[in-house]
Amino acid sequence: MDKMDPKVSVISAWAELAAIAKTSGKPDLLARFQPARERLELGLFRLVVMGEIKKGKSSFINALLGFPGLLPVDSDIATSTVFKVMYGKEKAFRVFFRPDAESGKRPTPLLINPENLNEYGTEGGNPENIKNVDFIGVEVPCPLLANGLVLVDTPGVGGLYKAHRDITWAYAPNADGLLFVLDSVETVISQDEISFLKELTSKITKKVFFVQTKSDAAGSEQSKAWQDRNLDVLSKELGLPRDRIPYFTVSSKLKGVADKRNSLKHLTESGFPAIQGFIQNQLVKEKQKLLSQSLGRQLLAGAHSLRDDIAERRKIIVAAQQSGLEAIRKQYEDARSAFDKWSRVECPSEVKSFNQSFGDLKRGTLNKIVDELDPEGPMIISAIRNIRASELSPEQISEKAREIQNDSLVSICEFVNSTHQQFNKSATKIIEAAIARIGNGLAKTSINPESEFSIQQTQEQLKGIHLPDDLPTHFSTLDRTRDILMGGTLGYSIATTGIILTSALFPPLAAVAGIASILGIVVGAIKQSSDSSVRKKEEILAKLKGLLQSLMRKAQKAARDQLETICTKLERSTEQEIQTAMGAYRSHLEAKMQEISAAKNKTAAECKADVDSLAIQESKITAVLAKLNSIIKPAGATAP
Amino acid sequence: MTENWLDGFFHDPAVDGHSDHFLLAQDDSSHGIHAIHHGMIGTPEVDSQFHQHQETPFTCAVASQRMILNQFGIPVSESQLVYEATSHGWLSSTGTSTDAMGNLLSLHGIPTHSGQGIESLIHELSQGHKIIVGLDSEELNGIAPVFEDWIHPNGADHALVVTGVDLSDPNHPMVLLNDPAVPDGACKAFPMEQFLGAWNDNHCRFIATDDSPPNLISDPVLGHGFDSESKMYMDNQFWSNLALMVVGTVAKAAVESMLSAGGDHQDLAPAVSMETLTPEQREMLYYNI
Repeated sequence: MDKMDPKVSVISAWAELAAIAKTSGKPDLLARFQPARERLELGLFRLVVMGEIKKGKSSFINALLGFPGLLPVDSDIATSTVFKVMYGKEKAFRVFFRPDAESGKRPTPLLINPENLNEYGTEGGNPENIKNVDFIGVEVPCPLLANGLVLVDTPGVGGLYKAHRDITWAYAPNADGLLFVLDSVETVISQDEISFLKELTSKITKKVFFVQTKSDAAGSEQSKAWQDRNLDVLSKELGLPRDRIPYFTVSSKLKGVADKRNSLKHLTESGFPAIQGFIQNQLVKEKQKLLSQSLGRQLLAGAHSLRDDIAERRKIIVAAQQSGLEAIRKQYEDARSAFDKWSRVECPSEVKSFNQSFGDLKRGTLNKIVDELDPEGPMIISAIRNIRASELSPEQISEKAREIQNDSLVSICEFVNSTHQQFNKSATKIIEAAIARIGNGLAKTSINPESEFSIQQTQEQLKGIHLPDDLPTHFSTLDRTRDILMGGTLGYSIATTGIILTSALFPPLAAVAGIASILGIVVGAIKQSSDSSVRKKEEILAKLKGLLQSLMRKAQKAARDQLETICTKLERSTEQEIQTAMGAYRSHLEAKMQEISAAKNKTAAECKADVDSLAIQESKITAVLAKLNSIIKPAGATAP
Repeated sequence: MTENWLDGFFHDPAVDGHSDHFLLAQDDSSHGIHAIHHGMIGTPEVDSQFHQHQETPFTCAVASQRMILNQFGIPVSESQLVYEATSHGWLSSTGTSTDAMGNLLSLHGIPTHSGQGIESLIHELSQGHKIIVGLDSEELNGIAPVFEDWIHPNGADHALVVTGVDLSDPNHPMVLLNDPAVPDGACKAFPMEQFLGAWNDNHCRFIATDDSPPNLISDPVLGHGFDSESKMYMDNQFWSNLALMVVGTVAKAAVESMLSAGGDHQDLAPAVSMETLTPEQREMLYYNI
């Protein structure tokens, strides 16, 4: 059996904390963290499967899931669409359509029978995607998928590098893992595949692993030899250490036999246990660990605030025992008037300055989008200029129209990707700075002198924080800021504001996927009419330019709309969240004043009982805090 | 205060000091605690007929699930279960991972939930549910008990079935187990304290079936006290009296709040899962993956 896994630990910490919170009269303490908990519980893991045609991709997925015939494997009919496979109690196939070009709305998904799959999912039934299919959703009662694993099967295409880039940009950036399928019979890894993998690993994701199928057809020696060759090539071309490339050789056929006969021997020979173990025990676990740590950090904030609250309560009772209630009442009264003054005078100006910085960022980003994605701008002009200067004949340009449009789309995706990343980074910084300032200002009003210290420390530490590029922001900086900011109830509630605010920031790559879905607009070859070759070329160039401009206009609109959505959400929540945090602190102070009044009338025996029970609660929280800390920063060795 | 407050449940000196007084509570003959039950929670005798010896060193969790499946009337061999677990990625040569411990039960249509703590475990037993726990086998068997936690604070390495808690001697509560590790592992008894120490290495977590095996209700002893309304063997009063008798007021309050809340695994039960997605959530998910 494994060591205690973080998911189990964090959920049990939740239960312990919930019990203490209930006893302490704060049953709603954890409500704010419910979304993080649900994220962990659903535990979505997006595994995107890619590879060239005829590599046995669909057979591999069917064998992996243990559902022969789930995805169409007929090699005569090329699958032309994306399949998204997730857990469902009953098998179901649903066709999802692209948004309508006019209204921008998506038609209702269509539930279909498996025998009708070809009408929507293949080139024969849906040539040039005239039915405007976005993808086909598949639900299947496979236990492998019950813990949140979802598969995205991308269409296998010949000449993968060129024809597959759109799909790659639409799905690879959001993938938690990318599985690349090679086989043991057709050919060792090709130059096309290498080019594709190079772009993938350098620009989009490094989370790629490899499966070599059809080991049964090749025989074990040949299959092994190809594995060695492929690993050599991959290691050399992609610059990865050979022994660090996750590479699995499998036979879907043997897995099928194994499933039919329940034969452990065939199962072992099929090579599937290794890859299933890798997916379940490494990939999915790693994601679970990240999600657990994210929830763990939030719970840590909750536990700190609860412990501080209980400590303050205990202080009040102790003061009552020592007839020191008046002094402590004075402290709270001072804190309250300082806080009231601060919230009247300083806070509005902090909020204003936040709005200003954020407004500047928004305008700057919008301008950048408008400039760069300008239908009359340099991107299109230089593309057209290059084609005009080339030796290409009008016929060739016409043939290449789709490819040229695809290339433009890829450039747009790259631009939007980097713009969104920059925007998120800057927005995160602005939010952090605002929260640090507000926290610092609030701390001056606080009765807890430790808070001020920790916030000073925060600002020191904030300077050193930089974001790793491949890390989604909501896992890193904000969580860290919040850890550091935790000085009493105050720091906690203001820091929680930060989480809520940055959760309004989209992961930048989702935006790219949105742009890439415009791809339905890309049209094929351009019809020619004129006969003079020069006029013909100009006419085709004009048509092409028109197409590229329309593409650019749509991309610009999509990018702007997305940015507007994020900004509106953020602007709207900022003031509201800050008000919530302030309200929470105000009622905290009120509650303490009431406790002070109540403490006055307590007998010595009652005071003693209170102090004892509060001490017990504190010690319980200390235990929970230790547990949460070990989830967030797992100790290396267990021996002392 | 001990590190895990659950440890103190049965051995808190403040509570144990009152035990003489609480023994008087057993005089509540209207519920006939002793006559019916002798302080035994669970059905260890019935369960012991289903004990299985694990066939390999790493199939403790598989064998434990097999015992329960067989008891629910699903005759399945260990090799079949090993195949299923392996082909789903739940089992490797290092064993079954903790979060996959009830998966074979679910696969065969026996729904399970997870829970934590000895009070919850007793509550499950009182409902006739079947329970699997992960724990540190060396600590359970008393090997290096002093240093064990110090060296391997999280050393859960073994899974087995908890079949009963014997409170007939309130000063020496025992836990009864069906241990797949040994051929004679049916109905093995361990002191509660020793069990808790070993179980604590797995944060006192367990997997329990949502239902009791179909034949329990006709059990000559337990079936007699089955309360169809609360779906419990013996009524709430019985269980709070038992708790009062054995461990005192704190425990009584805990048991009562547990009974009224229907067990405290509520806080551990997932709010969302792939199974419970609404059609709208599912559609959103489709667009976002």
